[in-house]
This record gives sequence, C-alpha cells and structure tokens, in this order.
Amino acid sequence: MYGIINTSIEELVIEKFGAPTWEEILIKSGIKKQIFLSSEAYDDAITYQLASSTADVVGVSIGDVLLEFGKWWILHTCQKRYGSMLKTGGGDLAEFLIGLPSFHSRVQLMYPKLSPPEFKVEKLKDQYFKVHYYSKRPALQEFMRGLLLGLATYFKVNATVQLLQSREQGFEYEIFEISWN
Amino acid sequence: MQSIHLNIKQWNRLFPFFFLLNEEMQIVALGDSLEKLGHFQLGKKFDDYFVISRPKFSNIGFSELKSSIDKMFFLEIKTAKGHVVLRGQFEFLEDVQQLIFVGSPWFTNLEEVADQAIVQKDFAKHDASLDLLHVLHAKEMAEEDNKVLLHQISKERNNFRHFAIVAEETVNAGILLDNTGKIQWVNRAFQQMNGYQLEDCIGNSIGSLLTGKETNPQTLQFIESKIKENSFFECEILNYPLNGNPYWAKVNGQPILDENAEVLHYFILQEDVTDKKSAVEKIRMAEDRWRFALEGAGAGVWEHDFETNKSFFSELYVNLLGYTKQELENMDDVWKSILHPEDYHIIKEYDHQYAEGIIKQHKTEYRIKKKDGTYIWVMDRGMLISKTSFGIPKTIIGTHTDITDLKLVELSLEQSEKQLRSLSDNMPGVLYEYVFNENGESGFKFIGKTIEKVLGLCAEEFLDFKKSVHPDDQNRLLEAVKHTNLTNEPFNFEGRLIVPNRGIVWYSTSSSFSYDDGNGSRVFTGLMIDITEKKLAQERLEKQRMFYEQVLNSIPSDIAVFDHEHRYLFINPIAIKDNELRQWMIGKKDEDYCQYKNKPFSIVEGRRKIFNQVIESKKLVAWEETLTAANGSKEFHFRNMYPVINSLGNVEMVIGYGVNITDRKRIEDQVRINEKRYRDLFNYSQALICTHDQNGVLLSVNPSICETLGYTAEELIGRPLMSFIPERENDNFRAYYLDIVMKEGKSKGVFRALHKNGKKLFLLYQNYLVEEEGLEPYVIGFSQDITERIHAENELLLAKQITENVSKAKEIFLANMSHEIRTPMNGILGVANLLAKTEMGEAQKNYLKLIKESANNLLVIVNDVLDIEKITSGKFEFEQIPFRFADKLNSSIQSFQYKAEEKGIQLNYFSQLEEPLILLGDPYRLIQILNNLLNNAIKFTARGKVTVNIFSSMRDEENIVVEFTVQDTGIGIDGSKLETIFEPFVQASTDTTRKFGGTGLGLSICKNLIEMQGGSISVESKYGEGTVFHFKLPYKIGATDMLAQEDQAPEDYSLIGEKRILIAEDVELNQFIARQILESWGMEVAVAANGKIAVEMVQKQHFDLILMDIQMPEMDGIEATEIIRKLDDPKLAKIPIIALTANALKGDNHLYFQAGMNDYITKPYTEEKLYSVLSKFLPANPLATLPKVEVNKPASRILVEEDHELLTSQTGDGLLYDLTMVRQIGKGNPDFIGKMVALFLDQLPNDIVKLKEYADKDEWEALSKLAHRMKPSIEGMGIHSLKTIIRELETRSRNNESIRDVEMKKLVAFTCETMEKVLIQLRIEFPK
Repeated sequence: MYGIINTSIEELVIEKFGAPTWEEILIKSGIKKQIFLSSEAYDDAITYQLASSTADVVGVSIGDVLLEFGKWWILHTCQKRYGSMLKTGGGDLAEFLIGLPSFHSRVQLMYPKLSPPEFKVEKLKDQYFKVHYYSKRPALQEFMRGLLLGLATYFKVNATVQLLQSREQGFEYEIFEISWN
Repeated sequence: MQSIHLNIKQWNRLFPFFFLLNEEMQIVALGDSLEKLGHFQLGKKFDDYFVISRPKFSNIGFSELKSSIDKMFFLEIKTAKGHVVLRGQFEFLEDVQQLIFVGSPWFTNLEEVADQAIVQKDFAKHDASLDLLHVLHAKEMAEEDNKVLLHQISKERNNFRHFAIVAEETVNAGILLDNTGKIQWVNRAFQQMNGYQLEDCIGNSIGSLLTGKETNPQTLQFIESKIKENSFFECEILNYPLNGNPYWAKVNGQPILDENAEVLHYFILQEDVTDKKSAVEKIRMAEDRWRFALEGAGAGVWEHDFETNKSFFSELYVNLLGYTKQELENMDDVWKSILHPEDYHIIKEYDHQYAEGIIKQHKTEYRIKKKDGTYIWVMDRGMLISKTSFGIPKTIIGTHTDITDLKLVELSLEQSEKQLRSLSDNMPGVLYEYVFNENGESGFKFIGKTIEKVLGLCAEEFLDFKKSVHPDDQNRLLEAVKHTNLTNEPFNFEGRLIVPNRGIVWYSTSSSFSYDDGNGSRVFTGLMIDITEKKLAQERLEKQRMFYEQVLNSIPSDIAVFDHEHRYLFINPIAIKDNELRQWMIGKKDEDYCQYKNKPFSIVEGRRKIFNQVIESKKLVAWEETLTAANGSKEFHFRNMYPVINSLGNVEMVIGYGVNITDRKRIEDQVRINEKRYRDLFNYSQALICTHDQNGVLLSVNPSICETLGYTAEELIGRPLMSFIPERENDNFRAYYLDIVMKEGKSKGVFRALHKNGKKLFLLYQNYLVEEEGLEPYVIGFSQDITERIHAENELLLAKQITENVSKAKEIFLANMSHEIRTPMNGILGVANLLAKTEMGEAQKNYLKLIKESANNLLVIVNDVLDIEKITSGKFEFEQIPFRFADKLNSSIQSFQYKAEEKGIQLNYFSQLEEPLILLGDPYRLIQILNNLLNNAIKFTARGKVTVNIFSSMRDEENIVVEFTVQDTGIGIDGSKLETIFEPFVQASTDTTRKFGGTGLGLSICKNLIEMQGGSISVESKYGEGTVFHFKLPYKIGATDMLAQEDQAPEDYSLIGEKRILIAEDVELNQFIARQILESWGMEVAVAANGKIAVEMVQKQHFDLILMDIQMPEMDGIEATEIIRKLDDPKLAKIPIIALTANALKGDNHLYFQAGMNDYITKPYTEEKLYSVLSKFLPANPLATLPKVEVNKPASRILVEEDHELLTSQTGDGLLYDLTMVRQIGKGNPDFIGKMVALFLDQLPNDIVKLKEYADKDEWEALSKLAHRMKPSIEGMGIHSLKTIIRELETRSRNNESIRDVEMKKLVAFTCETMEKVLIQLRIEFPK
C-alpha cells in the first residue's frame, strides 16, 4: 500500500491518543520510526501490523481500528490532501457512489502500483445503494464500512451501512448496503 | 469518403463540452457539461459567450472559423464564474453546414475544477484532463513528502555534525578504525597526546604506533581481540608516544553500527590516567602512615571497600572488641553484626550519603557489641579515600575511639537536664523573683522561662510589666505592691494583663519573702498562674445562671423553688410581682410568707401537707386550686410540685409551679358542649351516618342506621359493611366502592343493603376518606334510604311504557283509520265518477254532485288529520322533483276560478315570474298550501275579490325564493286571534265552524309544510276588511330536460296493448273501478278476492302484472307477494306486482318493496297515475299501437315540439298559448281541436279591433262585456299571460273605476298586442 495510508494511521493515532502511544505502537509492531512517502508503495504487512498493534495498545478490536481509520481517511486525510479530488468525485453522496467505479479506474491509472479495489454500484432507490467491493486484500471490510460512513458524513447525511455478504462467509466478494435519508 | 453521423446525445456523451454554431454564428446546441460552466441560451451568438484568446483573428465569422479547423483554439467563457478557458478545435459538419467545437475546459489544478462545481461525470470517459490534474496533484503531494524528508535529513545531518565536532574537540584521544582494525582517523587530542600527525596514523594499527617495552603484551592482545570481535572493552595500558615518555591510558573501545546493525567502524577513546594513578598511589602510602599513627594513639582503625563490601580492622581494634581479626573479617555483614541494632541505621545513612557524593567525611557516635555481649560507645570518624574510575566512592577509612565513660556521664547529665526541663516546661505558672530595693524601687529580678509558654512573651519583655496591666487593675495592683513593701506580708493578687496576640489574660499571683540579698534589698519569690480559663468558665456559668433565671422569669407560670425545709430558693415574677417582696422571701419559709400575707392557716396547712407528701414520696404531686380574683371572678389554677433528687437519692429541692387554666377550662367546656351537639346531630340525624376503616369494618354507626337496618349498634360495629349487602354484590363492593374511596378520597352512588328482616333497601351514599395525621385513615359515610323513591321511579317507568304503548296504538289506529275511511271513499268517488258517465236526470246530477262534494270534503278532513299526525310524529316526507311552476299554479287557481265566480267574487292572479320556470321541490305540497289559502280566502269572502300575487325576492342561477300573497276582502280576523291562527284546531271564531265548516287544521298544516320546506308564512288582517296571507318558499331552479315523462298526460291508454292483469282486491267496488279502467284500455282482467286466491291463480293462469291490495282477509298482499316471489318457476316469481294501498302513511313504502313488490299506488288513484305506473312494467306492443299513434297524436303537438323556435321567432316571445285543456275536453280528437282553434281564430281579429275601439272611446261598459265574453276563450286556449288581465279589464271597466286610469289603456294595449302574437303563432301551427 502507498505510504500515505501508514501516515494517515499515524496521524489518527497521534490525534486521538498522543505521540507516546504511537511510539509504543511502533515498538510493539517492530516497525522502525520513519517517514512514509505518500506515493511510495510499502508492504501491505506494515499496514496490517500497524493496525493490529494499534488495536493491541489502545485496547480495541482491529475491526474498530479499521472502521475509525476509514472515517478518518475520508474526513481528515482525503479532505486535507485530496480535497479537490473528493469534490470532483461528485456533488452529493449518490453521485459520488455512482462515480465510484470510474473513480477507482482512474486511480488505478494514476497509481499503477496501488492495485486499488474495484467497485460495482447498484442504485436501488434515490438514497439506497448496494456497493459491490472486489479487493485483493483481505479483512478490510471494516475499513470499507468506515470509508462509506466517512463519505456520508462528508456529504452531511446520516447513513446506515450494512455488510450483506463477505469473503469470510464464503462469498467471492463483499456487498455493502448503504442507505440514508 | 465514408461519413459518420452522430446525433446530439452522442455528441454530448463524447464531448460534453461541445457546442454547435450555425452560419449566423448562433449557438444551436451545446453539451450538458458546458452548460454548467456558463448559463448558455440557445439561439444567442457565439460572441455573447466566447472570446477567442488564441489564435488571433482580425475578424471572427463563420467562414473564418470554418477555414481554421486545423487550429487549436483557446476560448474564454465570458459568462463563467471566474476565468475558464476551453481548449479544443472546430470542425465543419458538411451535412448540416454547421461548425462544431469539441474540447475540454483547461484547468491548472483540481481546485479550479471544484470551484466550477464540475465533477468527474461531467468529463467524457476518454477525456484525461481530470486524471492529468489528479496525477499532478499526486506529484505535488510526493514533492511535499520529499520536502519533509529533506528537512528531516538535513536536521539529522546537523546533529551528526555536532557529534563530529564533539569527537574532534574532546580532550581524550579518539581513534576510528575500519573493520580490519586499521586507523582511519584520529582526533586532535590523539595527535597532541602522542605526537603523531593524522597522515602518520591512517592505515596503521594502534598497536604498531603506541607499544613500548613495558607495555603489557597481554593487554594489547586483549584489545586486538576485542576489536576483531567488534565488542566493547575497557582496560588500562601503558602507551609509548612518539617522544618515548610512556603514559597510562584508560582505553574504551566500541563498534559503531549502522541502522541494520552492520559494523561501520570501531571507535576507541583513550584517556591519559598517569596522574590519577600516581595520586592514588600517594594516598595509599599516606594511609598506611596515618593508620600506624592512629593505632598508636589508641584508636581502632577500619577500612571499608564499597565495591567488595569488605571491611578491614586494625589489630589493636580487633583486640579491643575481644574478636580475632579472622572472626571479624569472616562475618557476612560485619557492621550489622557488631553494631547496636538501634544504631545500625546511622552507618547506613552515611553509606548512602557517600554513595551519592553528598559527603566526603563523617563523624558520629554509636554502640558496638564486644564479643562478650557488652556494648561500648565509640566515636567514629571516617573519610573517603578513593573512588572508582567512574567517580563512584570506593574506599573509606576511619577510626573508632572508645568514648563509653564519657558517654555515660553525658547520658546521665542529659537525663537530669531532661527532667529539669520537663519540670520547668510543665510548670503551670511562671516562677519569679521580685525585689524591693532599699531606695523604695521594686521590680522583677528573675522571670522563669515558662513565661514564654504562659503569656507568649519573653522574660525581658515582661520586666516592664506595668504596661501590660489592665488599666482597671493599675491602682489596685499598686496598692497591693505598696502594702507588701510596707508590711513584708505575702503578696496575693488576681488581675488582668493585656497581652499582644491573646488579648486579656487573667492571672493570679502570690509571692512571699525569700531572702535578703545582703545589700538591703528584699527578694520575694513567687509564682504567677494563668487563670483566664477559670475566669471565663465562671463568667459563662454566671451568664448561664442569668439565662435560666430569665427563662424562668419569662415562663407564664408561677414558679417557686424550695429547699428541703420548705424555704424559698427562687420565685419568678409571675408568682410574686413585687420585686421587694420577692427578694425578701428568698430564704424564708412558706409559713413566713403566709403569715406575712395573712393567709388562712388552712392554706399554710394544705401547702405544708403537699410539700411533705412530695418529700416523702419523692414523686410529683399535682392539684387544682380555685381562687377568687379581686374582681370576684373565679380563676382556676393547675399546680404541681416535684422533687429534684440528688446523686445520693435525697431530695435536693422541690420545684413548684402553677398555671392559670381558667381559659383552658372555658375552652374545654365549650368543646364538651360542641362535642355534645355533634353527637346529637349524629344520633338524631335522619341521615344514615357511619364510619368504617380501610377494610370496610364499621367503626361507628348512628341510631338512624340501626333503625333503618334493624340492628343494634353493637350488632353493627366491628362487622364488615359487606355482610349487610346482598351476597352476590359482595364482589363489586371492593372494586366499585372500597378501592375507589380509598384511592380517590370519595365515592358516591347507590348500593343495596339488607335489613335484618331480609328486606332489600336502596341506599344513596356519599362517603369520604378522612386522613388525619397520627390516625389510621377512616371513611365517613352518609347515606339516605331511597328505597321508596326507587320504587316510585320504577312505577313511573312502567307508566311511561304504557303511555308509549298507547301512543303506538294511536299511530296504528290512525293508519287503520286512513285505510278504513279511504277504502270506502275510493269506492264512493270511483262509483260516482262512473255514475257521471251514465244518463241522468238533473236531480240525479245534483245528488251526485252533492255526493262527490261530501266525499271530497271528508277526504280533505281525513288528509288533514293524517298530515297533522305525520307532522307531529316527524314522518312527513317531501318530494324533490322537477315541475313546471306555472302549470301547477294555473291548475290550482283555475280550480278555484269557478268557485269564485259561483260566489260572485273576483279571483285575480298576478305573477312576475316568467312562464317556463322549472322548479325542483314538492309541487303537491305547494298546491296543497295554495289550495288551502285560496279555499279559505274564497270561503270567508262574500263580496269583493281574492288576489294572488307571485314574485321572487331572491334569485340566482341555481336558487329562487318564491313569494306569494293571497289577499281577500273577506270577514277578516280579529287582532286577538292573529297570534293563534296557525295553531291546530284553532279558528278565528267559535262560530266559524258552524258557519263555514272545516277542521281548523288547514293553516297549521300550511305553516308546518312551509316551514319544513325552509319557508315562512305570516298574516295581516283587519276585522271586517279582509286578510292577507304572505308566504315564501325556497326552491332550486331546474331545467326542462329534467321533467319526467309521467308529468305529461298520456295520449293513448291503449299503447301498452292487450295484457292480462290480475286484480287482488277484496272490496267489490274497487274491483269494479279497476276492472272498468283497465278494460277500457283493452286489457284482459281477472279478479282474486284475497291473497291466497291470487297466489293460486298465478300458478294456474298467465298474467302480465298483478295489482295487489295490501289489506285483505285470509292472506294480505305482502304475504301473497312473498309467496309468489318464492315460486319455483322463475317466470312466475318475477311477475310485476304493484301494491294498491289506502294506507297514506308514507313510512310503510319500504315494507312493500321489502316484500318484493315493484311499485305502489295510493288509493284513490287517477287513470293517469295508474297508467303511468303500469306502463313502467308493461312493455308497449308495437304492432298493436303503431297505427294508433299516427292517428291519435295531434299534428299541433309535433309542431309545438319541432318548430317551437319558428313560432317564437315570429313573435319574439315564448309560446303564448297552451292547448292542454282543449285536448282534454276533446279527448285528443284532432278534428275537435282544429275546430276549436278555427273558431277562436275567426273571432280573435274582430275582438282585438273592438277592444282597441272601446278603449279609445272610453266605452268601458262595452269593454267590460267584451272582456267577459273573451274570458272563457282566453282560458280555454291557455293564454296564461292574459288570464288575470282580462278579468281585471272586465271588473274594473264594469265598476267604472278606470275612467281616469291611464293604466287601463296600457292593459288594453298589452292585451291586444298579446292577442296579435297568439294569432300569428296559432296560424303558424294551424295553417288552413
């Protein structure tokens, strides 16, 4: 994964728990303190290790860490570093979700080393969508849920997100249901 | 060349920022995304929206752009928010001769895109401009990262540079070796220390540079092996620099690792420790010398090594303690073993202080145990003599000197000093010496230190004690001092000092002569004690005493306290108001007081007796005294006396007090009286009063309850209420009564109670919950025996039921009466009508006329009675059907016209309403009202006229209010009767009935009918001059097409054809009439005398319809109908059945329909009514009737309907005549009608000429006669607009009223004009 992901986790932890906790997480994870370069690809294991150590040190589940991280990614990292990209993604949540597959195709072109997930989006009603999530990476469902909730907050709507199926249940990919009012 | 055509949608999808220009340079189409950028309007010019930034054009036109399709264009959008440039190109589209621009907006960063609210879907999928901006953004982000990284690196490089400087500048020699052990770098200190230059060193090993003859080869080897192993080492070695003078170096070596723990370098630091080493050597030698000296002086010498934790002791010292040297040095922790346990902490503390570097030497004392178990005190002096190379204390040495003797002395001194100090410190006063000198002066010679504790002052401060003496005590003190000075007597004084921070201090002092100092001065020794606390306590006690006395004095009772011998100790002012007397009494016995007051001996005796009783019993004694006040009134006092027992159980004193209870006595009496009154109320009340507890158990009952229920109070109290009510109501008792009253605080209702004799009583109760503090809540109940009332009510209900039954019977009676009277009436009238068709002589005709009149009158009476009944029972129903207003009105007035003429009075009729007005409402009731009023008007008018006026007071498109006045010149109504005229059974005078007949119901019915239809009626009358009735009725306005067919008269009764009709009717007369009518229409008729026969006949013969009477013997019409409807043969079951009923109460209709009848006809019925109903159910026979239609339908009829427009267009008015009456008279015979019209037409022109002539010549009499002659023709021809006018002309001309009346001429003119129009209309309808 690109370094920006690791940087974002670092920022989340420091913001919520302070720098000493981050130091502790680094020690626990055995990852050296370093500057993660945004556009440099890092081993996925680093990210997983950071997430799991954060969960250990802070005393919550990895799922919760990933969920919070998903929201943080949209509401802090993306808004701070890629604000305009978010804005050009769509004028509201529905438009953004519809543009999501094409958005990620573009991301794939721009960051060839990224292997971003693929999406298929089904619009069931004006404010009711199914998001099919195809990713090579395992165990990021909660991150994905966090991202969707973060997006809802970004577009100032109150949404509920449900995971309808997942690879853990034996399906080939995940389906999320998002609805808001 | 192959061409590809794209439609606008496709263009829009591929190039959402495209636009299309026609040859006029107008924008004719544009992409959705472009629209978002600039608010474009189709049809506007290119110039309105765009500026071409590149390429340059001198003139921009269609042809210029068309010839520039190979160029790249930058178009600035004028109407965009901010600066937006489109980058793209034009292409000429051959087939439409238009230019298309394709391109995208050129943004330099994503923020610009976002500012335009453009999102990714606004770009075509192939358009990479947004992605390029994303890539650009990503690059920017990467650059940002690089900047941060660079900053970090440069920060770390700076840090590294600092370290390098430190390494270069340090005073120790630094050597950097590569991983083969060769020198790479040495610092400045190395070069100075060893005399080599950097260049000399690089590439050499340290061994080859610095080894000399005395260098320990093993040390060198050790160093080299450590370097090879890349491990840390520390050691000392003798180095030989270039100048050959060796020095001791302390060497530290350590590898330098990179972040992956790979060895980069090996670094060695060398310190020249030669000086240090020699200093240590010197100290060691000095130590030896000192030790020797010390031991020589009798002190034990010891040495302790902190590193090894070993201690050494000198020989001498070992001997002193009785141990062998071996014994001591082998002990695990020698100091812990030999030191007194209480003192061990002393040396631990010093050890700690040495280790921390706080001290370098120490001196202390403690106890050491000798081998024999005894302790000696030693003085320990020690100092630090060496440190480790890290500066940590290593060795201390010290001496122990035996100070046991000294210590014992010191301890005993300390002990006695402690005791003295304790004595002095704890002495509660200040010891002092006061001296009186020979010259008379005096003052303190000595003041004990305790003064500081006692007064918080130091002794020196108190020398000038006089300034501390309280001003009020100054003189007294001086006097006392003077006295002692003079007399040499002991000095005793109590007084106050004013002491800073404490305020007033009470003290007591006493001194006495102690000694003479030999210089003539006398010294007094004394002690001063702080007595402030004591004084304050006394003050508090006094205050308390005064407080209690004040309290006792203020209590509104007389209080006296005696000692055990009956002497007064205290009396309060309530008891004895006289202060002097009160003072006098203290200490006196009660007898003394009584004697003083001359009280009778009996009182003395009595009080003494009570007092003794208290003393003996040691208990309280209470009694009441009755006294007579000065004014003679009686006062009651309650007194008591009680002993105060001391700790020995003896009576210490006796307290007596008394309260004036006169008021209380009075209140108690009042309460007693009140209580009696309430009790009387309770006992003698007629109401049933009781109380019960929370469970319904009776607590009290009054005699009324006992009397009502037949129990004694004893039988009731303590038993639950429930046991006095019927058992089956017990369940309800708690739910509907007890719970409610306990929860809501009250309950009322009726319950049934059982008398002791078993009789059930009804009690109306109203109970309340009473809650008082400290009392169990209880319920107080009031009830009343309402058994008789309940019985009365039941009887009333029964009576009501009977009344209702009677009323119902009345209704049934009326319905029956209607039937019983109407049925024979039907017979009478029917037969009379048939009779009229036969040949009769004049007398018979007259009789017949009388019969018909009488029957009709009777029918009116019956109808009136029924109407009133229907009105009062609310069963009256109104029709809501369309009708021709004028027709109904005309026929009503027409019917009275002859009657009026017979009486020789005029009946005039004026209507302001236009002719063809169709109204929605009940025409029959309107006629009924009008007939009633007209009937009355004509009946009560002997001379003069009756005038009907009709107009509308309100009208819009849908509604109209029609107003009627019926005015007569009759007998009038007395003013006093006007108010009651509309009441039923009321007539204007008692002899009205006798003279004029009638029931007196007519006006009441009118009023009700009018008001029930939303109208109103009023009357004005002058007795003897006439009466005006005025009424108005609201109607909805209808249209011609709403009129039902049956409203029209049937032209041909044979239209239905030959049908078989069954008449089920028991009355022969009725059978006869129905048969006559039906057979005259060509029907075949069979008759059944009752329902049963009818049912039988229906099953045997074929019938097309049944006329079914309702009331028949054996089986009535309803039952018969029900049976027929249930017949198996569906044809028979469906046969139409029409009810024939004399039952005029409309409310029964539903019964007929319910039984399965198809319709009903009320008897007596008209031929038209019968025909209209039957024709609904019997289909017309086309074969039988077609030719007859041709013959019977008059030509005029067709013309009226078809050429109505033609007719009216000729005259400008509606049809002015109506031939209904002519047709009725002629039974529809066209010859007859034609003949009548012809005669009228022949006469009319002549009449018009004559009329005009008479009017012009004012020949009014002739005109009157002419009008009289014309009148029947005008009425017969149905010229309604002239009906009244012609009468007006006749009467007014005859009376010569109109000679001067121009109005008459106008009427004549109007009449002639109308007649001329009629002439034209008739000639069109009846062309010759």
